[in-house]
Amino acid sequence: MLVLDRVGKTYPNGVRALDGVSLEVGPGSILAVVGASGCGKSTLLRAISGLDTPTQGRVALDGVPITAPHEKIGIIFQEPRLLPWLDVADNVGFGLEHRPRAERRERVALALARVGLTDKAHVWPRELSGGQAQRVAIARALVPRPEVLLLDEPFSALDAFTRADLQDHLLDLWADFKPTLVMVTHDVEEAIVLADRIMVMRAHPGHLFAAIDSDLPRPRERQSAAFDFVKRRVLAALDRSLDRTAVTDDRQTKASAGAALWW
Amino acid sequence: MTATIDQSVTAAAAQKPRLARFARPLLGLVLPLSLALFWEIAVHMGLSNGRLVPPPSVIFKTFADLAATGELQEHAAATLWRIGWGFLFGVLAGTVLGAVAGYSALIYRLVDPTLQGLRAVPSIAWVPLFILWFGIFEASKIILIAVGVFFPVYLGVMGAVLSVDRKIVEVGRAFRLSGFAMIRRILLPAVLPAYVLSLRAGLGLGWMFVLAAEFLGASSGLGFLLIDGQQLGKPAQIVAAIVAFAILGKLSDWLIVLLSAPFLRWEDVVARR
Repeated sequence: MLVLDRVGKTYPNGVRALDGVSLEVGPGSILAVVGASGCGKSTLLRAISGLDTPTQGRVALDGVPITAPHEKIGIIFQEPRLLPWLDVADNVGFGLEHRPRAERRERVALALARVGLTDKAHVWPRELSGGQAQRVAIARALVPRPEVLLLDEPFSALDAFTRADLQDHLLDLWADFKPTLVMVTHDVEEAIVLADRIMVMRAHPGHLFAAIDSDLPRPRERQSAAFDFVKRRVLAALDRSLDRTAVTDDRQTKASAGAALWW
Repeated sequence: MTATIDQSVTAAAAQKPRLARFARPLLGLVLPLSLALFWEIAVHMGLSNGRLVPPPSVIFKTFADLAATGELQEHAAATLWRIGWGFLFGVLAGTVLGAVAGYSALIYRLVDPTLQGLRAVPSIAWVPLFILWFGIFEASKIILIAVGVFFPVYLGVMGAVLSVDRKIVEVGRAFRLSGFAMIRRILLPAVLPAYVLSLRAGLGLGWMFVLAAEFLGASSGLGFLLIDGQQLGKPAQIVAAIVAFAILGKLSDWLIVLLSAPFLRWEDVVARR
């Protein structure tokens, strides 16, 4: 269980990026965080990862406070951030340095097979496409089997086809051993395709504004009425978080849903 | 019809790289070889006596004679010995200071202004002082070379450490690397390409400074051969020494490239043309 207790972050320059964020994410569940740019989504994720420490409140995983990067928490960034001097297999095995060589090789091979890049094992990162590189980054984060995987807008730099493909890949991998996923995204559809719960954040200072639970059956059909219903609720919450008038008329909702790639 | 065109295009494309691999380096030889040939013929035809500008055959003969008597090897060895030690000390000092100045803002503020000030001094200006301090023998020469090598290495290492991608360092942090592991697995490989470049730049300056050092009173070394050739009016010997410098300089640079190549294979993807 990942628990955030009144987490706040004030930067040294006085900017309050986060204020009083409390939430609980159960093991194996998927949480998506959406919100306008600059609402503190990434700050929240970095606080959970231990890369930054919150100035107020605390983050705990299974009762253990998180103040520095933790072996049970993995993170995937917006960019793949592969190490250019290691080939794909060594990049994937980066977090397994202390394991015996045979085990390392086996787990890397397995992970590469799971993301469909077995034939790229000994290729340099430079030679990969954006989608392939991000798949390697996913494999690298998953190979140490974290209990919590954080994703900071992981697919936002990719084209729509690749993005949908990687979302499926991610769900596939998640199903293997069901880590908790916390994902920051701009893309409302992505949030609904993946998440059990969608948190809408609001800025100045960043706080949780609304939570929308979604129990759509998996795999999720983007064209279904139920999907559309959840999407409308999320978009409405986003609109309210931006102090726009809540959209109630159905036709208007359709129009704004057209901007489902919401940023 | 399109099919035939396609075929001829692919055939030409397949032929091209093989041809280009040999043709391109050879292209660079056309100019110097034709100039040499032209001068050789000009001297043979009596258009010039070739005393001040000896033709290639005479240079080659001088070179061979010097090699046969063992003189060339002896002088080359003396020069290599000096540049070897000077390079070693310069690289050691430059690496250590460059790394700490790049790593720690405090040390950077403490050390960098002084070093930049010293860098502005034309290094030959140190010669009189070094001779007073370290004598006229090898020590002063090696130290002068070390000074020459130091600055490009210091600047290169410092710049490389400063410009290590923060995002990559963060990956290291996310995997809980710290201290030594962070240096070994992230920082070192990240600075290596720039480091090799700075070593090559340092070595180039080292060759300049070994010559300067040998001009200023040496009884051995390729620089001595140059001076000796000037004083005794033997232009062929001068050119032979210059050729020796060119060969050794190129070989030593190539050695650095060769030794670092296994660690920089990942860069080849871009560098290969």
